[in-house]
Amino acid sequence: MTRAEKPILDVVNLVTSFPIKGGILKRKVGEVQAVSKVSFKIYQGETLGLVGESGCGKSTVARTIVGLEKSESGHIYFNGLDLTKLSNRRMRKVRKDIQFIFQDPFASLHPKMTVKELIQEPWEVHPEVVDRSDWDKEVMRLMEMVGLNPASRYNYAHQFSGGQCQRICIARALALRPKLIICDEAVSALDVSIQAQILNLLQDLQKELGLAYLFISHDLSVVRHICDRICVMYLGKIVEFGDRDQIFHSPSHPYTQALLSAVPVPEPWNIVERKEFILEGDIPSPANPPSGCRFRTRCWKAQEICKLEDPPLNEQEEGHASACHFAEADKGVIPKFKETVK
Amino acid sequence: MGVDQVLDRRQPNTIEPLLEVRDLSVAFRSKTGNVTVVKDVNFSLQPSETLAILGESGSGKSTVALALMGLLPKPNGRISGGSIYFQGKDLVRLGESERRKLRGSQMSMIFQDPLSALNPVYTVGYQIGEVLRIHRRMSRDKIKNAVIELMEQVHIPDARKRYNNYPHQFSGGMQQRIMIAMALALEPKVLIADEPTTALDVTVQAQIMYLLKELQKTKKMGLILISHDLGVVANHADRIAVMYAGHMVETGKVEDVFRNPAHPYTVGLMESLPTLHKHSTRLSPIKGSPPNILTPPKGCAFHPRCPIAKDRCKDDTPLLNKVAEGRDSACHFYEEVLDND
Repeated sequence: MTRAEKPILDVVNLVTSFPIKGGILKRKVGEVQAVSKVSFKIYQGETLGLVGESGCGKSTVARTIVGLEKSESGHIYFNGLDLTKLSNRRMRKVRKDIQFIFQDPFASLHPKMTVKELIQEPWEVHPEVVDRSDWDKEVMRLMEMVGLNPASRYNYAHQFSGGQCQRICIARALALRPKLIICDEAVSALDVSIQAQILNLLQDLQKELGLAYLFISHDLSVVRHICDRICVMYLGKIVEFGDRDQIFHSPSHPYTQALLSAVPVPEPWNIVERKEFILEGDIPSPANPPSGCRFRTRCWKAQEICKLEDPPLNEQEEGHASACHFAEADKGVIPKFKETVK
Repeated sequence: MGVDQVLDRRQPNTIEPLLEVRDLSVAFRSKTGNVTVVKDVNFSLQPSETLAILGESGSGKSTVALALMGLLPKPNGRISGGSIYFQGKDLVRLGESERRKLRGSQMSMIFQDPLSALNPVYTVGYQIGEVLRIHRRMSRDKIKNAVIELMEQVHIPDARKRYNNYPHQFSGGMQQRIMIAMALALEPKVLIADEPTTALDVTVQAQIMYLLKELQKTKKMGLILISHDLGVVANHADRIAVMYAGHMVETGKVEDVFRNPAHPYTVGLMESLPTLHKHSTRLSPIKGSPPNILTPPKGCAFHPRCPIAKDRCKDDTPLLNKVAEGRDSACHFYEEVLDND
């Protein structure tokens, strides 16, 4: 892959925590480290996937990047600018380059605004982007771009289906001509046939506009389809990262292996061989994470050292790192299929 | 479809089905008049069998489940035609008090979101025991012991200690286990699971599906698994019924249907799906979006989105017809679909 020299987004040792309040006075009695020393880079035109189970901190990472949560320490460099050090006023300027698409398209669209009002609203905040006299034309252009009929621009969100609403959200995200779009479970609420349409649209837009995506999802098949590189998170930490083939062909962290082996594939009868790891128990509370390696309580490889030492993210091959004392690539978790006639 | 045809198809089956649904239709009253959301649905369920009802949101799959359980929202929802035979009785014609006796004891249901299905102000022990208190007159001690045993059966660790916990003190996976314990308390013959793992993470999904399978085997239950997830269906069902816009468009053994689908909608679903094991650069989705249930298209409901639709599909509604042994498809041109593969 050819890569731009400098990453568009460079997150370094990011920590975000939430206070736990208790007692009558609601004083802080503890804290939850939702994101714990997370680092990654995103380059222009590429899609970085952030995967993990609910509560692993993937959405908090995204929210911290755009300033919806305050970081405790670490740096977020966007085009060389450290976002954690910016004043609110300057942050607002930068934020136009980073847009967000959320999971539930109905909840993200105001029910009393027409599609046109929804799409042009960002220009009220950033009037320099599009001349007021061109608003109508630009709204129509954006709607066409995302596959909506521009004639329906005076309709309300409830008059559209879920997939169409997600297209409206995408059009609105594109309105400010961003460089990075954060898709937080952007296709998870959609039906399979609609999900495929939206995934294709996201890929087309990326090619056309050179966008970078931070794609957050729990659906590994979708992630495999759309992402160039992938970070796997567990309890606030990145446990493995690598490019698509490294993660899917030779995952080396036990958690990644378990996650991949748990995905039900639609043609089980064609499988010749597949390793299965069924994890025991649930994800521990992030308020009280296990000592040492955070995954050790559910890990089948766990030994004494895992309790004592938190394994660092060690690069095993170029661009592929794993935070496990016993990291070992396993090619068996993705099912091998019979040669089918199909 | 006529009753004769249905009976015809049943004949090779020597085992009496546990549940048999014939020409079931469900209508809802709305401001604009009656809307039929499920139309002439036929299927049967054998003991120990898992039948998956696959469909996208709005296809009517959950409505079928609610109709089977007699839980359609009153007064707007009602069964507008057809019958549901269970143990020789037609449930559609049964009075509410008799339905209530069956519900929970003979037929049970698990819902998608366990947290909203559990009452937050009662302990889980109390809630699991409720069904025992109502259907079986047991002493308090006996109920408690039975509940703890049930909690152990669904692998809730420290069952005795957790008996007095409230739902919010459990994780999503554990809450779903509680729902399962509740549904299985009286060893029902039929269990309906409506998207039982959709709200859960993949690793927990695997645990719950294995648990359901294990319990089904020991209790010889018939399971109706309602899902939109092709992967879950392929791995856990014996037979499958695909629904689209209130119609059943294809039924058959899971493997047969997935290997060689006989309806263009099923084909479209499979091609829309990104796969885990190989990387495809582009997906081929079904064009358009599902029809509005208030204004369904004439003829075949799928024809506006269908790649092989012809003039006939615009006004002639295809019926579910036998296309091969144990397989039905509601497509005029199923041969084309089958051949294409």
